Amino acid sequence: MHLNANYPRHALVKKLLLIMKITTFFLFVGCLTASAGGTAQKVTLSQNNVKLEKVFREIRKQTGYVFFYDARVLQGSKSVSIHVKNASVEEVLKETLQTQLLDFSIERKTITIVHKPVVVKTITDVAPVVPLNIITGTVKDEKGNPLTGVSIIIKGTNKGTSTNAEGRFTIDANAGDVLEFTFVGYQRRTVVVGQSNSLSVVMEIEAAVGNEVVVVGYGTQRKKDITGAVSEVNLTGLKSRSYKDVGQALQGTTPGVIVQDEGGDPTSGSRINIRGLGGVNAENPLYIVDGAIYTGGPLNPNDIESISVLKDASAAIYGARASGGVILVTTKKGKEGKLSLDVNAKNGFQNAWRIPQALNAAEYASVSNLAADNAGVPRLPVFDASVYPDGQITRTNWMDAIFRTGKIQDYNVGLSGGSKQSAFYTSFDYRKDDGILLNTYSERYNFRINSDNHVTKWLTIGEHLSLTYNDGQYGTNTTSGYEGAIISAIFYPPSVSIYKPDGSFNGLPDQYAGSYGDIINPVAYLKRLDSHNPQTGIFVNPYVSVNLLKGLTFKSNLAITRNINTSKEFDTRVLETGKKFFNNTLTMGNGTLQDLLAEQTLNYQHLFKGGVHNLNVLLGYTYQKSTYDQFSVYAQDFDREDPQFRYFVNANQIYPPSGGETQSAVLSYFGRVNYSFQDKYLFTGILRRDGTSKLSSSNRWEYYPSVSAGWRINKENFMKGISWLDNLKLRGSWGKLGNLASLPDNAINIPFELLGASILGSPASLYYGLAQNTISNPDLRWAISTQTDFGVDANFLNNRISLTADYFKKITERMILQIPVPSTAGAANGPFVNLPGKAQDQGWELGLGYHSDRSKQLTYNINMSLTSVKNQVTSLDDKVFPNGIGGYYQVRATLDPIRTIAGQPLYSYYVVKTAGTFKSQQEIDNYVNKNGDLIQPFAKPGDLKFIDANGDGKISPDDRVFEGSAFPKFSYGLNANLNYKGFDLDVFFQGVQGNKLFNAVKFTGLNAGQQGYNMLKNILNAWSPTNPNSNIPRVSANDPNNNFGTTSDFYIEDGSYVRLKNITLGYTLPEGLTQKMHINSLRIYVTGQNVFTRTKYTGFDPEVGMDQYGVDLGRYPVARAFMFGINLSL
Amino acid sequence: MKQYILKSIAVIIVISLLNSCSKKSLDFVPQGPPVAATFWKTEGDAMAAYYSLFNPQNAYEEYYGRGYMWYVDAGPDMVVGRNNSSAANIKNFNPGAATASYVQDQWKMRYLVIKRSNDIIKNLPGMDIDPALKNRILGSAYFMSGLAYFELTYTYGSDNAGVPIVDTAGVPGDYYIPRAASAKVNYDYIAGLWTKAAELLPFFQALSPADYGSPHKVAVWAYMSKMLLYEKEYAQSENYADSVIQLGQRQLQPHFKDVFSIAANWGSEYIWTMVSNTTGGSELPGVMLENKGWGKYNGWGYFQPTKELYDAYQPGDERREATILKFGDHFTFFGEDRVYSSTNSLTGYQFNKYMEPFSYPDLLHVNPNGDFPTTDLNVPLLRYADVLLIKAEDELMQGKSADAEINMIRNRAGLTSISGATMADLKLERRCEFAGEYANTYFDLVRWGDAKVACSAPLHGANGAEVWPARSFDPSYMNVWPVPQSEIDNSGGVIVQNQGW
Repeated sequence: MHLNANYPRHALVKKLLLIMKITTFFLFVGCLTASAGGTAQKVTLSQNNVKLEKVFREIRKQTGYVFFYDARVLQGSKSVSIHVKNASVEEVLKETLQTQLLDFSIERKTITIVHKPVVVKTITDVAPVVPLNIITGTVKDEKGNPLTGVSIIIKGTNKGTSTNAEGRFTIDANAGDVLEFTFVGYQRRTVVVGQSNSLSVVMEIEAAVGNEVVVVGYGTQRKKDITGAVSEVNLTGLKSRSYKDVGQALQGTTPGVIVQDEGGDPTSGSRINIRGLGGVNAENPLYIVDGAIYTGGPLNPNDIESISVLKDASAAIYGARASGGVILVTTKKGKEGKLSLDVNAKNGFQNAWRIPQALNAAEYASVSNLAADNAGVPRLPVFDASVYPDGQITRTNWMDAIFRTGKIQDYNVGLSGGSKQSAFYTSFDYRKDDGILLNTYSERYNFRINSDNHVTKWLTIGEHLSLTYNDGQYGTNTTSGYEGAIISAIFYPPSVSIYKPDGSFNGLPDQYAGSYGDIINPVAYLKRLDSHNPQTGIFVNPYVSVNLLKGLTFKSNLAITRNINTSKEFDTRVLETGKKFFNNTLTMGNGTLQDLLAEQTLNYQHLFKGGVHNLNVLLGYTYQKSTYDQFSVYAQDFDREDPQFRYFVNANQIYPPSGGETQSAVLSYFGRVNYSFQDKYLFTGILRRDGTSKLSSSNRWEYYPSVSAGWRINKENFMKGISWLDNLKLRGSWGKLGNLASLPDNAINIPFELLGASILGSPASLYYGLAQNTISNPDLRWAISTQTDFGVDANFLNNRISLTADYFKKITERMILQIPVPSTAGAANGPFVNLPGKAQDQGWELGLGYHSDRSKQLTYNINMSLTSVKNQVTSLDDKVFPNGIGGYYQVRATLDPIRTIAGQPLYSYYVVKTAGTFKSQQEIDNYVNKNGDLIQPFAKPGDLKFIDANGDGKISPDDRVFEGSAFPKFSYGLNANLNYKGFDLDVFFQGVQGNKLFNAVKFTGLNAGQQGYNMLKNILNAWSPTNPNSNIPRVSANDPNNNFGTTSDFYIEDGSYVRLKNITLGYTLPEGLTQKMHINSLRIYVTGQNVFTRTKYTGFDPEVGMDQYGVDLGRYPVARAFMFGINLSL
Repeated sequence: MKQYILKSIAVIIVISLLNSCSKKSLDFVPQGPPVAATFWKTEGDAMAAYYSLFNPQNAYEEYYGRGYMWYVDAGPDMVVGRNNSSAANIKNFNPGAATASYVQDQWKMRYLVIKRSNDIIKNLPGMDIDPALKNRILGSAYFMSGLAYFELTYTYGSDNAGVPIVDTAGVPGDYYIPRAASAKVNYDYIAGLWTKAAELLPFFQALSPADYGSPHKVAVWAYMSKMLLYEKEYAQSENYADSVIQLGQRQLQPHFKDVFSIAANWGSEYIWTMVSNTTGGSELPGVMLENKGWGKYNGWGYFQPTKELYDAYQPGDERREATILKFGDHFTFFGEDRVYSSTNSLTGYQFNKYMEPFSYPDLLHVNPNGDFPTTDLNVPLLRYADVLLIKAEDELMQGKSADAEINMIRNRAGLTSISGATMADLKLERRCEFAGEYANTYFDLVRWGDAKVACSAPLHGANGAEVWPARSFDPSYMNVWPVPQSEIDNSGGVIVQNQGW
């Protein structure tokens, strides 16, 4: 900015403002609204040899007309001299541009400057060699919207035209001519004229060349300027699929982002791990929606315009909460233009793709008898056909009885529109997912309004407002080894019918009840479920943006979140024999989260003269305060159970409510500098300082620095000649990020706990005490991770192929863990501590994309993502954890397979290895230690052969070894979509490789030594003298060899799978037809989810998630769904 | 210029608005329940601390429900009635006894009681509350702390190592406390606690019914005599037993069967029990009930008496039928006469001691929650008969006659008096009197040195068939139970396992 000292002061300020306005204009390519400086319609000008920009500036100043153009359009324009008095805008522009290769159009008060279309010659001097064809066609963008004003030139001539408002054009051309399509902001396209007289051309936004902006936290960056590992999520197929949550939309699409469904329960979510597990901290990615830290309700996937993920130290801009990566979601905004209404309706059904079966009644009895015989104990009368013939009759296939075909409904309506000053987007969404187990479902309502209002040229005010409501049927319980829907269906005797003749639920036969396990009729269990947790989320996010000075913007963002969670669970009596509950109980509670986030940022952007230096500086200050208050009331003994009586007023016994409130706050200062030199050398530096109320005042503040750099090699002169390479960038980043894990608000000063009842007095009554039940730790600090990344971005062959590859390493220290303490501490729960140990996530990721020639009728894209992460605990406090950390997840208090120890992956399986079954007594006799003693003295043929790993001559827990974990070594996704005429086909494969699952259903389902439960059909394949090659141990009612009680690799299976996650076939009606129908577009489609699965895993479904560290007790399986959908645009 | 001013105003407005929305504090006062600094102020706080002493035994079902009974189950009088490998590991003295889930928290829950007692002992004296109440709460803390140490000490402690002592004078936060040098150190410490408790606590008679269940002077004396007996300090033990007996406030119930009735919860034989009702307390009655209660109620079918126990009773001993149900026996079950039979009982017997609450029609006296089958019957922990037999043993061990006390017990059981009673007679009486109770007849065998013989033979069912194979009891280390493995793991090696385990 050059100041002229001769200007009077008042004029100087005015001038400054003017310069600022216009420069900003040029800087923000495509960002083009501004308001009037003056109001006159006539222009008076007297200028000699000035740049066009100056003329435009003057015109705008005098008339208030706004100019709309890409700065590059003016490149190569000549200076002009112009002298007019009281001329109209049109006249002035005509005169100004007459010698230029530029044209203009005026609509309302907006002047658009474009390249002058070369006028088509109407008379040809030379007779054509080949008769001219009249070629007609349309030009659209990638989303199918017509593009207006695209210039089309026959290459090598000056013949040309441009598209009209509907995107149509007509041109005379010969077959073999090359048509060149150009349009601001889009890639140049060339099409060879063939035999056909009609052309349909799709133009792509200049994305691949790196000019599109990516949301990076408190602002955006052009992709080509990015130095960190930032992924934009490929959201292809978003409209056609039906998602439970945003996580599902991310699965398999983004390198470095590992998403695992935690089973198929409609109320369960998916877990996202960005680049590994981040140590024993409960690490989760941070969600930012439209710039604000988001703690609101579930997002509507249909509202999402784009998602970008900060995977490395570039997340340091979010400091203490960003160690697990940052997911930045941008929702849709209104666009200038006519109102548009988008309706997307999907409807379909879902089924279990595989249901392992239990034994029928006769098989159950015969296996039980065999088990008794093999154990040398008397057969139970209940399984004796002569004593209890009724027990041999199969009346119910319980597994089939609990599953059903569920219905999925998903409806979304979006409305958007706007003018230059004001734009809005509003949407409504409803989704209901009836699960594949009886009486299970989830539903979700979403409502959103986004608006952006340019009040003046320098002031923008807008808001994002969303209202969410979601609920479902909870309590299906498919993770327990004792009870719950699926395991009960395995255990329940098939001779029992579901209902009694009077219609009530049937139970175990009284006479033989004690011979069966403690089990509840699984159909009754599911049908009785009444456990709801309706959540209402209100998210209000107004913002103000002020352009203070040239390049200097102040933005203030306020987000208020209120999440109201109401829970109500009514447990009915269970009176049929099996496991009786004579009382009914009601638990109701409420928890309200109130979150206030205030963010102030200043952003300064400056492109230095000549474009050599580009500087962008961000400074910010935020404060976030969260309050959570809750209460819960429990009552029991209701005379009547009909739904209308399930309220406290009908309870005969109400217990004292519990309740409390917690508060926390985070205060932050941050800054970021982006600097680029010659568009070649890029640098970013970030510093954030966070303070939290969760830690004591001496420990609460922490700095989070990060630096990153990039080198765009293809911009170097020595690379100039390589035409097939469009982009090649090397990146590197380093930084420190924080994590407070799931630290409760009062970990440094934990309040007393209201304890459960103590029983005293006559009559014996309940009294409630208070005690310190958790140990406070005032010395806690943040967990910290150091993240390093090296990456390369490349585009080849006219941007057809894109490649992103990264190597990363993340070291997490001061991990926060609530450690178990010796009982002498006198508190039930130990303190949260910073572990003196380290964990490391290291790996690489690859994203590959290819798109075909867009000018062809058949076009296709292929995108692939591949991630490999190796996580490991590199050190752990030996004093507290000499044997590592165990006890994470136990199976019926017997198997304890998970352990975290230095040198192994987190949550590794720690098991005794097996070598199949003993085939003969001789094999047992030969299995001796160095003293000649039998290593497994209690074994019989058909028992598991355990490996004496420590060589002490006996099998004991000391023989356990580490055998991998449930975290996949590789996870990948492959998406291909094809378009041909009106048809589109989208295929999406997703898979994981190298993970192991602990199939604990073998313990409960193949074990005849339990309390009289029924078993899985597969037990018929157990070892027997006639089936000597089986690795399933022999059937026996006792287990002296501890086949099942030993935590062994018998349970461990390969959890790898590849799954056709989605396949969609769509058809868009021809434009001619839709125009007649007066609609914009209409697409119908069919879509299938989880259509095909290939896995070696023998449980229900391999997608069991990490929340139980891969221990599968018959988890609610992920379903296969088919849906039909309509997408209508008005 | 106008714009410039406008912009400034806009920014100022926005910032000041936001500032008024939020006070940017990072210091909050914890909301809800009190924290350490705000507790110990009112009488309500004192009562809340008092109630917290009794929470672990109710919150943790294994405290006096099933878990600790697995240790008692190790004797020859009962077997694990159902297929349960974890329980079998304890019964069989397998190394798995250290990791069995049922007993993992036996230490932890008792140290909760100890910590809460210590907090009372530290903080209560300075509080300005009713002196009588203050004494009772303080005395309760001393008693409950001592009781927790006592149960830990005789279960896990030996001459080689005791259990950790968490002293009130210890450094807060230093909770990695090694085991005491020997059980003796613990017993001496407990004696100190109980001496103070006895000074501070009132007699049971002084308590209002609403306060029943509160520790009282006689309970302290009775436990003191029991502990001294375990220590083989017979004279001192006898003194304390005499204190109880001579005070005359406690008497035997006239009929043995009535001891285990709801009506006798606070009857003359009561000294110390696990107070129970239909929402909580000891689940032992349901645990011992027939598996699934013949379709009427959730019995769990564990702890079935053996033929060895049945045959131990002398002819005419009323206690046998009151203690054991056998096939063909009539009993009242939920208001109806029922003949005992079972299609799944391992021994063909069932304990009958705790069946009274199940005799009433409907669910009058039983917990409707099938996961926690407690009843209105308080399960005795130390009853007056125990004091009599403690005294008897003290006498015999000092060479005195114990006929008076032994005959009191025998006569009540419908047996004739004997004279010149010996230790063998005493042992039989203890076995027959306390089978299936927390008086712990298994530990009697251990301390008498009889466990090797008693616990090595196979066990039999009603029809004479062997139901539990012979075990092998090695007194060199099995006289104490292994420390729960979780204690060793969580202490980072400060707590060491008992030798041999």
